[in-house]
Amino acid sequence: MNTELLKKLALSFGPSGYEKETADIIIEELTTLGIPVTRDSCGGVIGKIGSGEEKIMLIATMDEASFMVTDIDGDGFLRMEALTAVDSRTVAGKRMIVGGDMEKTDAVSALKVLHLRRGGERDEAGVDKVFLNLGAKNKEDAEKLTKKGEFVTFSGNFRELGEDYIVCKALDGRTGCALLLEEAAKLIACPDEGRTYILVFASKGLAGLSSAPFTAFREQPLRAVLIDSCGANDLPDPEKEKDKQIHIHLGKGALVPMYDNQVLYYDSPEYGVLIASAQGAGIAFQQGKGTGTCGSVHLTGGGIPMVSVAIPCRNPRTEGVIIHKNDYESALDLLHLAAIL
Amino acid sequence: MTCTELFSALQKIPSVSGFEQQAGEALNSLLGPCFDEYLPLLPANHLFIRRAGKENAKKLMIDCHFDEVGFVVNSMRADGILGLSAMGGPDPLTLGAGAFTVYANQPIPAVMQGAPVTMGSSRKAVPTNELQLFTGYSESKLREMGVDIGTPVGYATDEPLKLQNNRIACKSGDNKTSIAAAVRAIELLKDTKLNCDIYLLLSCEEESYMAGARTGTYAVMPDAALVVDVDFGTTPDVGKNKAGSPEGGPSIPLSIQTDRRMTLRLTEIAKEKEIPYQMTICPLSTGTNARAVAFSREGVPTAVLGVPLQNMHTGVEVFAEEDLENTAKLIAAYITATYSEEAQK
Repeated sequence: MNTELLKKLALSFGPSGYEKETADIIIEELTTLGIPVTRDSCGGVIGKIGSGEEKIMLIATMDEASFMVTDIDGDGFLRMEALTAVDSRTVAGKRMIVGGDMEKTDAVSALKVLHLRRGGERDEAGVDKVFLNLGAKNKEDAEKLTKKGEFVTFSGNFRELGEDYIVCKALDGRTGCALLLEEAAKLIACPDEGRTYILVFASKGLAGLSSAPFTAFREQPLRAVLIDSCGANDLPDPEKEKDKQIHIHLGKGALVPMYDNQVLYYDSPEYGVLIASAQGAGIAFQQGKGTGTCGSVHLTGGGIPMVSVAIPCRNPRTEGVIIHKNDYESALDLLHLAAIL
Repeated sequence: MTCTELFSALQKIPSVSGFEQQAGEALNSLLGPCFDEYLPLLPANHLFIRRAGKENAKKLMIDCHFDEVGFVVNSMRADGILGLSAMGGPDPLTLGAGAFTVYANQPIPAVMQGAPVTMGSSRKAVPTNELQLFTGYSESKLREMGVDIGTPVGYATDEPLKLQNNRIACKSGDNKTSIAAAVRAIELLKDTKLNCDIYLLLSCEEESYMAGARTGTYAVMPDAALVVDVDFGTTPDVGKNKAGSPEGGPSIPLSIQTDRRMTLRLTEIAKEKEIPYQMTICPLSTGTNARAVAFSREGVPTAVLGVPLQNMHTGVEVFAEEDLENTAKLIAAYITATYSEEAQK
């Protein structure tokens, strides 16, 4: 795996709806590969390989767990609202980045101090209780640096854990971008004259407002492959002891989702072919429920058949998203199979 | 060294409450040059002494607790996931997905997991006994690396983050900011001839049982004591009467726990030397080691100084550089006014 590329992508500032920094890295990589780049109306990045009749669309999303500044109080503290799903227990006490139209600036997220919390507020989490501290002296001071409507993300470090794991913010979206860029290099190395590969690095996917359907509508591809992430739920959860759901593990291979919140993948013939060829090739993979970041592609025009490959993540949408290196390799192999299907 | 440089070096020395003992060597090499003597004391105190070189010199003790909030490993699963008990009180609502360090033979980076992350609205904090710490290593590998039941765990030691107005966000603000200010005060007094010995007590276990301050006071037998700790910094939802503003200077609490004359003298000296300070009213308790220090032996006249610190007991405690420098200045000015040869002529 290209760890340096993944690190660069994961550490870039790309909140939902303002993925410029991430897009710039992707455009540079695509250009280096000699792939022509266009943009969609939301800032999504589109690369095209080949000019064959058969159009295959490969989709990743560029955004990450993010928030928008909703208020600046008299003492210069900011309040925010989440743009993506988040677990409110993972938001406070973190280093954050605020930016967008204005220069990026560092901040920390915090709550009313523990010692002075009383009753229910002692252990009740909520994004609405979190404030951001820029070190500003007052509202006027804070407004030199930011404004309502600016974006906020975690600033978490890129670290290796043990020998097999990587932890960083934004890995839930950016791993897909890294995988798609690695796949692009493979596709350009062995061109298929009958096909056009349309690579979509969508905006706002994690926020549920993916820009991928715009390209799907314009290009009307034969089929699409979604590169997604999914929550690994292999840890003991005291709240869900009797839960019989299928467990997705870290390190047992990428997920080929049977379905997610928007698409029933197993319905399409491509799903069966992908599973069979993955088994034939001896690739480790898991089956279960995916997260679904652009089912709307599936419903575009007269309907577009889709399969998906998802990288299992622990702590999704946090500053400490954990992935397993084996799952990355598995996802890379599965993605290639799904692309050349 | 500036206070912030001292702080940056201090925050890298692990000192989870109950595990302060092994820091002696690192502390002595960092702070030793400012003092005449270093003594490790039981249970896990570190004592630095600056001698006046005079017989029967008075003894002024500066107490700064050296420990910080953290965890100890209380269980290990076969897959290497560690269960934790809290030492002191890390804010349970700030732990999820955060970065931590397991202090084994070598520091091991780790990530906190609660129960699996669940998207949704308002949720209860994960109880400490359900926290899961993930290192990426199996139990057998962790044991090889020296991890066992009882191994301490602290917030990840990242470089301090500089915010606006020279405010700093970091772990360990409580209480290594105070230590930095106290050591800086000793540096400022380098060329001042004093009639007292100064004992800097880096006391252990404040966050758990205040054990170190009590035993340390018995060992030192001070004539007077300054307890330097942190005070709540103003944040939303915290009344301004309960917190100190950043850049407002050290908080000086007026309380029946401490010596009123000494406290008022501190404020007078601050006014005279034009050092900013803020008076806080803590009627019964300052919430600091003063409880232990002032009530040891026959009683020790004690005053408290507090560095305003936002987000106490999290990994992103915030302080203003300026407050550390002013705390150092006030300590030095107090000592000069009270114990210098000049003042006593």
